[in-house]
Amino acid sequence: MQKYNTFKYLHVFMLITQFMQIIVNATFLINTLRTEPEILREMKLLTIKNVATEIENELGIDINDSNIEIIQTGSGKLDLSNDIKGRLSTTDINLLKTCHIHRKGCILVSDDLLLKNTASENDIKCYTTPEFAAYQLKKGVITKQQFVKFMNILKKIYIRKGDIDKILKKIENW
Amino acid sequence: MGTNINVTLPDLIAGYLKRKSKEEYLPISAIARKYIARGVTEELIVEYHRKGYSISSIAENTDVTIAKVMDVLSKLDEESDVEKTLDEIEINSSD
Repeated sequence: MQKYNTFKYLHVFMLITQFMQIIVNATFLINTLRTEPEILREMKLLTIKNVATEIENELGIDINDSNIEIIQTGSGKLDLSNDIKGRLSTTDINLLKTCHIHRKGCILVSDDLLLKNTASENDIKCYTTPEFAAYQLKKGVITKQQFVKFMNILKKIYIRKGDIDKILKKIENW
Repeated sequence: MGTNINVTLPDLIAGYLKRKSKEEYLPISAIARKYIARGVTEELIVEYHRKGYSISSIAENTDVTIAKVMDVLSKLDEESDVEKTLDEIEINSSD
């Protein structure tokens, strides 16, 4: 019986990791669209309406014209102090609420460390753009050549350039 | 509408503003306004960041784009703990 349960949970875990939903925020989309937009075609990404509006206002790009799916904003219950709530935007909070509903099967991608830490405190996995690219490399979604090219272009505009150096060094052995 | 502020500037800065005014065919006040607004906005972005505001929230509060906020913050040379996440990615993918 115990063996069966172990198998059952392992099976569920494998299904979750196989069909992990990737929910992205504006920082990831802006960084990618400004550097290597082609790479977005390789990925199945989701976002919410607030983010789509931010991208449209900022870059004049209609998300509906891309392969990024807009999902309904969720209403997951978050554990947020008033202090944190006051430092996040409405878009950030809506993203966290949406991810919280799917938290066992979703990854949030954002280059904002407050959002990343708050996600982590609410049991939501969150990667920054270079971390997510490394994850996609490990999953075989993108090649090492694509990854290195993306990182080298991204480094020119990235918010934490040192992170990219560390990642490029780390993946040498991958 | 705005507040009128009279300032005395060092000759070096005043000379630069005069030169730009001639080059861009704009009054010195317009040129000075542009540079002050740019500098103060960047200071505000850094100030909000140091107080722990999110990027999207800083963009809202300073009325600038998210890309501009990231450009300004990229000059701060900050780093995060990427090694920890990469180790997790490596371990999970070898499961």
